Amino acid sequence: MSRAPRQINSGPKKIFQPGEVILEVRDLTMVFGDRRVLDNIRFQVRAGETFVIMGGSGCGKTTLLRCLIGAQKPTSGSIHLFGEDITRMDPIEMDRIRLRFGMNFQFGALFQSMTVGENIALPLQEHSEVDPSLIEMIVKMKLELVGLTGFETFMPSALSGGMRKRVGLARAMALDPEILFSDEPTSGLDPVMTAVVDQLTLDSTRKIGATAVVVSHDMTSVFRIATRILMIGNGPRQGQVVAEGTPEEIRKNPDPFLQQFVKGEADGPIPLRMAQDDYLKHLLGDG
Amino acid sequence: MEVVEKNEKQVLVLSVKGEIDLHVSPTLRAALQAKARAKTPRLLLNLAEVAYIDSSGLATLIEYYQSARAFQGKFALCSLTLSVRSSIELVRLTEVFSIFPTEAAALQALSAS
Ligand SMILES: Nc1ncnc2c1ncn2[C@@H]1O[C@H](COP(=O)(O)OP(=O)(O)OP(=O)(O)O)[C@@H](O)[C@H]1O
Ligand SMILES: [Mg+2]
Repeated sequence: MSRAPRQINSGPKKIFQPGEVILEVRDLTMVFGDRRVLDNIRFQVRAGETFVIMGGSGCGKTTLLRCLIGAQKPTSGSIHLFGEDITRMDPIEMDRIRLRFGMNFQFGALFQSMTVGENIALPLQEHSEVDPSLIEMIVKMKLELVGLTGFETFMPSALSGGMRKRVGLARAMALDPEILFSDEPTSGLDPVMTAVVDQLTLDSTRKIGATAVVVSHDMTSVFRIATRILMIGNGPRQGQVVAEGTPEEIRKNPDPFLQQFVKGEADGPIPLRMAQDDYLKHLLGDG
Repeated sequence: MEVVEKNEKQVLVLSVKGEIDLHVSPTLRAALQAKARAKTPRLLLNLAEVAYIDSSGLATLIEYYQSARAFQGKFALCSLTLSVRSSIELVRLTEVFSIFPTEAAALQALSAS
């Protein structure tokens, strides 16, 4: 299914057809102090894909997403989003781009002093001329998408962690973004809700033509939604691309690091602990 | 977005052309609000040339549906593209709207009622 060119009066904008490169990351490196958290990451995402980023805790997934949405400037490298390098953009240009993507944060990032409905309505109130009575309907539709119909008057503090995450997803989808970035959208959700959120991702990409970039460790979910997978390493391979490919290619890839992760095994090359010596030195303070 | 209007078999047909997103849904809304004020007895929206509708567009359709219900006007949609049909299905509105595969089928149903 192809999406016809959009008639938009918000200035010139390139139209992305399914299959065109909509996001391209080149040689992205992020250094914090003396720690190289992301190391020469490169990949491309095409319009209509569900691109999954996976990797162990601390490998730099959230940092990468923060770079992709312009919330963090990488130490080096470039990020072309909708064909434009956002690492070189000033805040005003970035605001224009921001209307075209949604971000679902790892921990929801809801405004605690606002109701669920107000949280979801906020992007529409700030960035569109949509009438308040229509915004109210849009809020209800978005809540239905994430299985939370009827919760608009709740305060975030009155929700469970998984419910808060789903509100975050609903808010990220408020403006019907061309690209949705989602940081572990299914962690903490039960299997049924995981399936609901996965189906939502699939419908948005396959049927509506949106693009999804999803961070996830949930292997069932990853293999259910991904068109392509990027695995980032940790330990000796901190922040490096370990593998990239279709779900089939990732399953067949013999890299022991990757296989340990995909199969969720405790034994393997992924370092879980410091070497015994390092631990004792650290504990006993004689380093 | 373009809206072409015609009268056929006592049904007012609005054929919409272009994508319905945040920027253009206010125009569609103004057109539909005028039809609601006129208490149009039978209104058909032909969406054959609408490749995309966003949530603001869907909300606009719901708003008209609600006003038409209040004055007992008939309202239907026809000739949906795959993307528009999917958007409507995704938010479970297929039960709300009367949806017909073709304009002819819609006209027949609306003029019979
Ligand atoms: N602003 C910062 N200053 C210093 N270090 C940072 C900063 N942000 C992130 N880091 C470090 O970067 C590394 C990667 O963090 P990040 O949150 O990206 O990991 P992650 O892959 O998302 O992990 P998780 O799966 O647990 O969410 C961590 O070691 C973290 O301490
Ligand atoms: Mg993280």
